[in-house]
Amino acid sequence: MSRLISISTLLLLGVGHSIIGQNLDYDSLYLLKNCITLDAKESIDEDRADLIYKWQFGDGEEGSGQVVEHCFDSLGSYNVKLSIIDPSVVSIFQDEWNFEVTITEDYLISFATEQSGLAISCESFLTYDSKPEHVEYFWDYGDGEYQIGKEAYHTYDSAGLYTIRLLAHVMFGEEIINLSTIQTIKVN
Amino acid sequence: MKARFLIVFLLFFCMIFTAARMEAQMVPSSFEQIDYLVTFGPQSNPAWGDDDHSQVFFFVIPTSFTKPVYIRVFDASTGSNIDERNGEWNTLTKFSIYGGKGTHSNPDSRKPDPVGEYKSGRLMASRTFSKEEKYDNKWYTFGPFNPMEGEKAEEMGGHVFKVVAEGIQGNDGNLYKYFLSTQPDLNREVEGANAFTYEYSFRLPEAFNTVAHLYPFIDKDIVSITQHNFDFDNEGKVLIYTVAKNRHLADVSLNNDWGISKHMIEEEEKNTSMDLQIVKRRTSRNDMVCYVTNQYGEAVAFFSSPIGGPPKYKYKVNVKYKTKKKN
Repeated sequence: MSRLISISTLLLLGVGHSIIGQNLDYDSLYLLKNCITLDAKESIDEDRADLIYKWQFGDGEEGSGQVVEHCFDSLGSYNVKLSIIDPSVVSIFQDEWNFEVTITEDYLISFATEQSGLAISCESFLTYDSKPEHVEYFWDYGDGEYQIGKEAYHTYDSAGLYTIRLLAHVMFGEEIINLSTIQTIKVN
Repeated sequence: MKARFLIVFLLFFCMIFTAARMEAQMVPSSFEQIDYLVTFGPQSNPAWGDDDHSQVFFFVIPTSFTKPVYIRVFDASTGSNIDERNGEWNTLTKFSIYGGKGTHSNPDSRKPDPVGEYKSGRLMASRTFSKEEKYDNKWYTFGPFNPMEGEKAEEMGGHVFKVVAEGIQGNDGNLYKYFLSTQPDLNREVEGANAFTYEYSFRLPEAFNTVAHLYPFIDKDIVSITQHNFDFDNEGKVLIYTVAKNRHLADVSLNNDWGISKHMIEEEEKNTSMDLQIVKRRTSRNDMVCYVTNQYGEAVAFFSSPIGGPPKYKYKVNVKYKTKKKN
């Protein structure tokens, strides 16, 4: 059940001005398990600890070292390739090892609105693969009014253009993931 | 000794005929990235790259193949642009084909050095080549041979012929190739055949940074190998590459010298081929010799078509996913 609340109430609830009132914003999409750590230390022979490990992550990025970490910005499959530089012969050996990384999980926030005159109803949608433990939704109607809830209702005082911003706090494990999205509506 | 020998060959010859392709019929094969075999005359200086002026190769023909076969030699004579001249051309090279009992089963035939009864078996054909222009850069054909005339080797699933190339006079280097063919005047592969040797005398590719590959087969009883390379002139590196060794460095020979190093064999390397890589770091004409022995000092066969295919090092990479904390 949504509630119309004032900005002071939101601050008291601990949402914080740094989240609701700020201009800087979060993405509407948050990738899960989007980073990989590749640890090749078990492959290192004492005899050839001098070999240099070069990685191509399949998204145009590269790294080097026996242990590397890389994060992907988009969902999809990536062919990770390992090449070896052998300093003893000053040669590179390509495609020594291949691995397909698939980034499939994400949180994506969006919302839909319905208008009737100066009144508006909003419904949020959160898509996910891993169900979050808890989600909080915060609405900023662009006229100085704020509200909490998965669904929200509001009536503007006057016609005009308003930018509605939805902020979601997604509790996932020990993390709090912030997602936000905006829509500009014309109220007649 | 004999029982062990039989078991070893039983194990890998079940794989041999699936691995062999046309590349295996040419010796050296395309797997090996070696241009020519080489045999010098007996008056040559070993520092030119041949320690014993002799080379023994074996061809194994599967039992299922019953048509005549031919053993062809490319540039069997000396005097061509690919041979190694030393003063006037004065070298005689004798090629001899052996079949029948003892061809390969005689232990002396499996030694890296031409000693004892290494020419065992029945002499089936032989010819000595001097400086003969008509054979320069051309194929000379021995045969036809009935595959049944090779030594029957049930453990190999076929019949074995032996080719002995020996420098019998002079001091030039004879560079040549072999092809086991179904045709006398064309190179047509014998399906499922392979070639192997216990000591490889060859010319390295001339270009800088080229890699020659030799493929000894590591049987289940091998616990260590010792690689021996002769007269590499310290021109690069010798690397050992297997499913469990990622280019281990082996000792490299200097001029007219042996580079010898021992390497332990891991369990996962058994019944696989090893890739002995010779990486050249100079542009030059360089002839050299290689052989590998097991822990008993027995020579290990190099196969033109690596048994089970060229090895691929098995990387152990631990992959962990995590969510990046973005905000």
